[in-house]
Amino acid sequence: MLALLTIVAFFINVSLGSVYIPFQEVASGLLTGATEKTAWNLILFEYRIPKAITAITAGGGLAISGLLMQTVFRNPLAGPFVLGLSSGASLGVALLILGAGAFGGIFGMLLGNSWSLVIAAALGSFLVLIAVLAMTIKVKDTMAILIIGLMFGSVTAAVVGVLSYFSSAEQLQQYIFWSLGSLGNQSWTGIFILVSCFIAGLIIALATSKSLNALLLGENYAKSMGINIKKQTLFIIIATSILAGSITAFAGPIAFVGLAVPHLTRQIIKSSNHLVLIPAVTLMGAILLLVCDTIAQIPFSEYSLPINAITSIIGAPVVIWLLIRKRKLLF
Amino acid sequence: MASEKSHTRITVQDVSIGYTSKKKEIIIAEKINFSSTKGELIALVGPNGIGKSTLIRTLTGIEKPISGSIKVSEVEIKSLSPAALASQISVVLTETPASKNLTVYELIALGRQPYTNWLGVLTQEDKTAVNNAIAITETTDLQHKKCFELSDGELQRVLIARALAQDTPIIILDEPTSHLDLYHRAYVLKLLKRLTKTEGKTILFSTHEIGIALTLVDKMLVLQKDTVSFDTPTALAKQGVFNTLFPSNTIDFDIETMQFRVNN
Repeated sequence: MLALLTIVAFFINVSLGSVYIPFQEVASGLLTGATEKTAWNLILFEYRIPKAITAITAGGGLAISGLLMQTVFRNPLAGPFVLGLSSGASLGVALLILGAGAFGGIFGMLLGNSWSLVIAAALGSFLVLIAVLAMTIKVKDTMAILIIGLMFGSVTAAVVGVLSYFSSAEQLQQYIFWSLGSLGNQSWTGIFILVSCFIAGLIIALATSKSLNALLLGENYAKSMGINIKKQTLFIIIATSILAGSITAFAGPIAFVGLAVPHLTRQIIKSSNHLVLIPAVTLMGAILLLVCDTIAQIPFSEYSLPINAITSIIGAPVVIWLLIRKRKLLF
Repeated sequence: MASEKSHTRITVQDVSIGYTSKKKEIIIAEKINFSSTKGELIALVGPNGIGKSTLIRTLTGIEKPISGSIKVSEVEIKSLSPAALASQISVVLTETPASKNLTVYELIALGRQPYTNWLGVLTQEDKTAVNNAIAITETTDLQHKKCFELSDGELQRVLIARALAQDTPIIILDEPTSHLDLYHRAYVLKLLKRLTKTEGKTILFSTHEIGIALTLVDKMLVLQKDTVSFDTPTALAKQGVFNTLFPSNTIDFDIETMQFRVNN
């Protein structure tokens, strides 16, 4: 049922935009690859469909990484944004874009290559995740972990501030546009990279689902059931960093999807089995981001809003509503 | 099974337990020796802070012993892979499940993890084992409830059911009776007793419930500041082990009634 909804949301998303294209034409375009006007063709295949695919992978991927982190940290408030993963990815990108000004040389040569952007972002989030995880071994308190995540966010912001002071206006503009978050303007090559990262992350996540289920009981129970915690945690971290990193690299930091979608999914799916939950959150995330993107374009108008603003406007109330209704977030 | 009867299920020889902090070994208890065969119920007792939990964590392989040997079914646990150990020992810990959103059935089914494939899919055999564990622990009515809806007593039964579903010869429990009222304490201990007799499990549990334990268990492992004793309750009473367990100006042991008394 969720899969069907995703297709519907995809269709609606592709159909709506600043330029009006009749539904039949969109349908024939999607099925046969041709529409009545070449302009419509161009809009559909070079703009709207890549954007919709980005929305699906970004929404799904962020939702998976949120789910994995909530289980690994055994904390309902965990998510790529909250724990500073997105900040880490931002730092990686900032070093790449802005660092080109500050350091020059090799960094400049790497610019413009979308793989380098992905690698920088994935490395950034991987390092932050490792750091946060290392601290969770020392600090068991979940509140402290969240605060550590927030601190990473501020450190990143500070480093970005320092870097931007030394970089040119052009680079700064490039970075700021990136940080506002956007699903559009992706080349098909970019989409290919994003989708391959997404599939890799999804497969690793599914392969760790048995260990994730065991971790629902806690680390010691998982150990007693024969799970190799260190190895499995590493795999989970790798999956999370690939997903969160690549998505952040392409679409900028997108807030709340990773945190809110797993909780929304748990309202619908009455199962704690990650083998069921992972596909479910993927679809939910995809639907949510498609809807958010449709709203962001403000159908039939010429304006479009940054996607990050929309996810926050929708996401924050959802989390608050869940908290008020259940008084306690469960995972 | 004649061959299994002669084998010991768990053998602990000269084990010292403790932890290493800043490259210094801190020994909590040493010279722990005991062994157990099929169908025995063993209570681990001793005052607070003597190392009961550490011993349990060491026996279950969560922590390593500082020295000595621990064998399960005649095999050194050090040499067992985590998966192999998981098919020998199952545990019930004091910590509550991290996720309260699990249903009782899901939680119990997690006990089948050592036997399921890499995706954790339950086979018919696994489902039979889970349903069996549910029936034995009388948790049938609870199976569709979520963990946060359970009382402490119910949760304890569910956790025991999970250990049962893991289908191991040995079950080790850390303070299964804490937070429970008198009825549930007796219920849980009687359930453990039943499991040793009808299912042939070897069960070791730590407890402060020495009173009930004395009447139910086959053997007792008593940790004290300088000594570790292991024997049947009556033999331990004769040796006077219980008299020194607590300061005698507060608590006395009466060997006639096998009961502890508070001195006023």
